[in-house]
Amino acid sequence: MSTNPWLTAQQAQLIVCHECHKVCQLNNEHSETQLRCPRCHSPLHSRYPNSLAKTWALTLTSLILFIPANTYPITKIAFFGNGQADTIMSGVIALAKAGMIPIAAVVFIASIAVPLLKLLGLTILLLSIQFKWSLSPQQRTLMYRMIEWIGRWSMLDLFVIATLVALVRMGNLATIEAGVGAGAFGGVVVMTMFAAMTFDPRLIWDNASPQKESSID
Amino acid sequence: MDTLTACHECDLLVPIQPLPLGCKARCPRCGYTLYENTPHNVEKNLAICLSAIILFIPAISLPLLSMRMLGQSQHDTVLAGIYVLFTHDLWWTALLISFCSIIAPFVKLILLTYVLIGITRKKTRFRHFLAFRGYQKLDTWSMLEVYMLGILVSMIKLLELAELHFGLGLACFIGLLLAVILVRVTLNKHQVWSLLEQYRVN
Ligand SMILES: [Zn+2]
Repeated sequence: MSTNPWLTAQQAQLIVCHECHKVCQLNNEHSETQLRCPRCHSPLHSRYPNSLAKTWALTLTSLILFIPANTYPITKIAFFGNGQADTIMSGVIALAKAGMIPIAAVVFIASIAVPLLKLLGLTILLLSIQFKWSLSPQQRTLMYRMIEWIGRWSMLDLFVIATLVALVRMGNLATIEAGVGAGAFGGVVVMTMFAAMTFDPRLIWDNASPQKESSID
Repeated sequence: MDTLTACHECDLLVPIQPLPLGCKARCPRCGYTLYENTPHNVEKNLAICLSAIILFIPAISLPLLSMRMLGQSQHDTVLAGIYVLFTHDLWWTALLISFCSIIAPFVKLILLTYVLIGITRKKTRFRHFLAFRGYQKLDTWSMLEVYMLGILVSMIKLLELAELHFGLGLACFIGLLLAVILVRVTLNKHQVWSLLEQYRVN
């Protein structure tokens, strides 16, 4: 085995099982598509197949869905017969005007800032790999971890809607109904979560490692 | 091969070294947690899983909050929220919410209980391996803590408009959430995989 401290599993003809973390030998008799982990039997891939193409497709889909999610109403509130439809942004503004600044901030961060930053972050990661930008791999890995961890919290607004529609059903007094925007918004959250899952973080390091190796020799 | 591991996030090969209790081994290149030596008590984990399963039914079917306004009152349960969304023809949103708040967390608990029972009996089969893979796959889709934040946000939104009361379901929901978090924090996945391999019978 080489003494090079930055040797990767791929360079050593090894594959680490993504499910159970067992290190497996890559033998040349089988093509990579047929390989399965001897311990847990999940498919083995040195890098996720078509990771970049899939992540691009999911990122672009969620970018497109982001438009109806923000322009169509996500809730329709009726008080004593007076109806009012709210988009995500107008809901945040209404909360802020009512003096509930901390809640407005939480909803704004979860429903607008996080999805946008996630889409921006994924695009930067994809472009940096595609065009071999020399951005720090440590910082890009950190960005990837943030994107992966924070994704689920964007579901917040949908859980708020589910709670409100069940609670505020007061006949003619007051009702809250969910709007079409909620469906599109759910699509954005799910698509960005899938995008983070199909992105292979090892690609960040694949074109970053050669520099490091030469400095050791 | 068992003396080596490769980092999940950067593919670096790292030799496995014995760790002092309570320590984590991190990737020297990217900082990802490679493996850890945390005390993992299988029986204790199994007990928490079982209590979480028992809490599940009341947590989703009993009232979380109830609201009173000009003589009328209405209460909210996890199931009612999903039902109302279905009746408003938002079946996709309803499906998504039921998957993240009921199906994923519940199936996860059942699968983990099954795996841990296999380990305590020192007999594991291929289906235990499949079950643990399923558990790991469902991990990101179980969103009880996000739901809890959603309940808090709705509460604050309605506080000025109406009189709100906590329901028994909310206490069960909080108990369930604590149990699920405790399981997630104390479970040592690497150890479960090696125990599954150690006790394999076929
Ligand atoms: Zn690493």
